Amino acid sequence: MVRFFKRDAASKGAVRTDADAPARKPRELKPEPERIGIAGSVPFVRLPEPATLFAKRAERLRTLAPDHPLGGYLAFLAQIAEAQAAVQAERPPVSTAPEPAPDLALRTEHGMPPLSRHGLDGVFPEVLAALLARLDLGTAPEPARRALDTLRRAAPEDRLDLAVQVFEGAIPVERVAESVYVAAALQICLAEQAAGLDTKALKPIADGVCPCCGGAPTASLVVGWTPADKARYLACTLCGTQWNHVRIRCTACGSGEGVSYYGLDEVSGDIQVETCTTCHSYIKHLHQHRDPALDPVADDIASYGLDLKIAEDGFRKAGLNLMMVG
Amino acid sequence: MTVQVSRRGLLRGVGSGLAGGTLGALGFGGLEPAMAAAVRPFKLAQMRETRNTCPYCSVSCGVILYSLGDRSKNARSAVMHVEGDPDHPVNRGTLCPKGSALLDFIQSETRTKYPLYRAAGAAEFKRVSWDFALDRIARLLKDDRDRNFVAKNGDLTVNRWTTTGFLGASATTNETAWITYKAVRSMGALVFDNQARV
Repeated sequence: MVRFFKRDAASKGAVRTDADAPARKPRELKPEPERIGIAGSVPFVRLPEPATLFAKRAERLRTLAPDHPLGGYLAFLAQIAEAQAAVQAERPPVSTAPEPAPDLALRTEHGMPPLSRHGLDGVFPEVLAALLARLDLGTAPEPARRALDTLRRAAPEDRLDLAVQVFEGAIPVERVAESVYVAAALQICLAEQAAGLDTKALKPIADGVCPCCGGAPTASLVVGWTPADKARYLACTLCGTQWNHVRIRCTACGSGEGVSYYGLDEVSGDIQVETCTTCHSYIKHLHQHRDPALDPVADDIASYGLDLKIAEDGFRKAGLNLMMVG
Repeated sequence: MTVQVSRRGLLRGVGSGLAGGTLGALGFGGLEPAMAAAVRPFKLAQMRETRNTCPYCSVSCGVILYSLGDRSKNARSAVMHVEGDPDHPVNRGTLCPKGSALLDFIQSETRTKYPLYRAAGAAEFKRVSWDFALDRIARLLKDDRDRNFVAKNGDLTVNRWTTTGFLGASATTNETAWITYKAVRSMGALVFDNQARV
């Protein structure tokens, strides 16, 4: 302790002090809360990192699959995520914004997300083609393989048409199976485009709406990374962006009344559902600060038992997981 | 028919069970009963998180109280954890050692939950009503003020009362603090401090 009070020349020697730095006047000093690990405000968004997003998801799905009641499906999704990672790895590095900068600025100015379906026309067809070429579903059930074949034979316009419907969250019920592959390709495109956005330009759109692409949240995460420890982020189902949403506040209707958390300690204490009695909806609430391996897509599906339980109490799911609709 | 999902992401048109969902469409429908069977024996445990303000000092850190049980049913609810509120602009989820020990404060056996009165000469405290307690406090304040109020210092009007002090609470709202100030100062009390400085 003594060292802190002896700032005179006598203490010079082994210990390096701030005295070496140029003298600063008190009015030039600025608070540096980062030095103790917290910041004045948490970042509003955390953009996806496409290079690791799908690979980590695949790894998580592979970890979860053994001895899981939905193991077969988790392993199937792991194959898709591995294909996504492989396609992503072969994509050229993005050098330009998905659409002209004035367009993006105009949308932000008017409270709309910067990424739109018009940005898909160029990239989506080739990404989907690459993904379809890479997917090898030898052991998958027949309907899954049939849907893949249907999509392989589909005309480019038809594929794009389905992509737009998935993007807008209006999944045709007779094409739910094909939508999974289309959604997988969309995730690659949008994660890539979102990663190129400027976080400073992004603004909140509405409760439960992704500020990058307007997508719905897959799940709610209480994160553990340093500037935002224990703050809550919602993970977008389309582009994988995570954006801050105040805790104990419904993600669908914004109400703070009647928010409760339900969990099955016997199954997993790190995953709960956040329910709202105002709008009778729920969303998965993953405690990533306790288990950093939790992935919004993978663990939302792996905790499907919670969905079944909470649905018995009459709650509807707020948010959307494109890898498992319904 | 299409599964309409609004921009808010609420599934419409199809119930929450959605037997014809992705699982069924991809040929994994057989797994759903296994999943249901795996969780059937268990009961969902309800937990609530409630925002509050730490009562210790004027910094007024935001805290989240974690409690078990549903307040609307017969189940007894109990606070089982307290931690800093990460959304609170004052403390961003951090707490000092006193604040971190709030759970013991809540569950302390000696916590004062109602007015207690020990009559002069009596050995023990006895539980009394709020009316009794407030009447008694008012009576004692009035008696002391009547005895010791200083209206004049020579020719100068001072209207001060220095023999009784008042300690305000630190976690009060602006409105409560305003009323406290008005009530105390209007009696002429000068000895007035706040828990925040303790």
